[in-house]
Amino acid sequence: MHTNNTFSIARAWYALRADLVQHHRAVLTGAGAAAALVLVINVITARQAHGGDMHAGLFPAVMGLGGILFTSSLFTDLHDKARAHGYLTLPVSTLERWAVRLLLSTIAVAAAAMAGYFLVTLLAAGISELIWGRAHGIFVPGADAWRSMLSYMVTSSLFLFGAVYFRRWQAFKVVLSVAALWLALMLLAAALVWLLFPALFAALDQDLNLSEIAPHLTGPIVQGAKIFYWAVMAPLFWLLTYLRLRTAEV
Amino acid sequence: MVDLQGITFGYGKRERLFDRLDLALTPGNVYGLLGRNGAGKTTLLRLMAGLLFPKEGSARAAGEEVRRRTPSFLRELYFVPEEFHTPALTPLELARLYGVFYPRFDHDAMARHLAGLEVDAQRTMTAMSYGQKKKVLLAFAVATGCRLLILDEPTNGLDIPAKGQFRRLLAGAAADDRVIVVSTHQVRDLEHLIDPIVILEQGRIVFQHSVEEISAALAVRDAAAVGPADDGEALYVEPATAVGGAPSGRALVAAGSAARAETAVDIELLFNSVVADHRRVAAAFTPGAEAGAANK
Repeated sequence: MHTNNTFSIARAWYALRADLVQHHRAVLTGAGAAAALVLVINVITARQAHGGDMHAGLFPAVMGLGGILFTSSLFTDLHDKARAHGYLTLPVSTLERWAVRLLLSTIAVAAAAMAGYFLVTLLAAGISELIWGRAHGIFVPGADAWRSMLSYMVTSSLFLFGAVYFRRWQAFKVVLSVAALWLALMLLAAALVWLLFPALFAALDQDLNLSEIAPHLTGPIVQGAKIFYWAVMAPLFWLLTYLRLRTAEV
Repeated sequence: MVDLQGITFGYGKRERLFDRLDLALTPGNVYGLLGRNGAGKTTLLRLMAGLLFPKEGSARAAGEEVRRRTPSFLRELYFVPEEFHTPALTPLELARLYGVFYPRFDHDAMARHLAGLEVDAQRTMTAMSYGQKKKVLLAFAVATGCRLLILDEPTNGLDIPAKGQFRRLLAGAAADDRVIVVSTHQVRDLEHLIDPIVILEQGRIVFQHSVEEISAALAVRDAAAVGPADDGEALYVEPATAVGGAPSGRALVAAGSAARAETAVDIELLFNSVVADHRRVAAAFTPGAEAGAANK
């Protein structure tokens, strides 16, 4: 019998179902804690509600933080010797193994966050009306919420790679690595400018208006960073996650 | 079924656990993989399963390169490790959730094996003892219908009745198209079941023979009747362990040597003989070695 060794929707579904059944308790506990926090914040701040949209700030924060913590813990079975045997010998392809975890870290988190947040704000509005006679508006996903979701999906790709790469303290190590890389890039950039444009450094000793020249220097960098973030970062780290998973050993 | 050729592997950059190791396992056998602590038995099993990648050489099983971990290979493989994790599921839920990955999974057989091992199929595994959990995994492993079963220290943690139940389970699982590899320290638990015997020593397979070949080539005698191993007649003499009464050690001799054999070979004595001097034991298996062993 011929077996498709690359991708099978049936196998991917079985693997996804197994993941959901195995981890539903931990996920529900985490989601429940986040929901309770959002509920309390909504109800407490409703007393001074002045018509501003508090969800514009709270929703991305809850989805981002919760999603990143969840994503960072997605490959704990790979790093635990007692569980890695079962995970790596489950009859699914590497592409299916990767796709399931990618789906969980992106679409599943975003959809669950949106639906959950909507339900919590609905409940919070009812409670607030009863207690204070006023309430924050119910969360209705607008353009900002969709943009936050896209931004979360891009950012989570980095943490997904961190989850497969680091054995412990994945989220913390990713943040630390990014900070270290950022510092290294800044120092490198400063060194390059110093080497290539020494006159600029000499001018710093004189009365130079940096705010005049800064946009000319930073404009291309910011543009490049935006292109990297929105077009390159997610595919790059998803690919790196796949490659790391393919070569994972016990 | 399993074909390891020229495997070189080590955990560190300089350390080499295996250096050009070769091993071929054919269907229809329950291989007993024996070796001292740290000899690399678990590492070898992981290399067979594609859980570790050799630095050099090729590891193939069921016609595929194992490091690719393709679904077509993995559905023919079930690995019961010594350390394992069990989800918060009942054995029947486990079968429903994970049995779908194995095309020949037999739910009735799973239920029968669980009953035979005296495991409550409705109890959540996280509430079970280590031995009970292991029984569930062993029952699941056999029920998958996989053609390559790898069991790492399967009798560790099993109580005395459970060891008997496990022996019956394994005997029933042996099939012409299946390779079962059992790594164990507790050879007495699996005596009369594992055949052939494979012994790993100093990074090499130093012994691989069927029980029939072993019985034809070697036998056990009373140590007192053959004298010390240095005399040449015995391949290996096991020190006496009797407490009180007259000590009586055992000696492994070449079956065709001048001294006549008294009992069949036991695996523990064979293992000790091989790790003490595998070349001397190997000589008893080569044509014309009988006279050589006797004259040594």
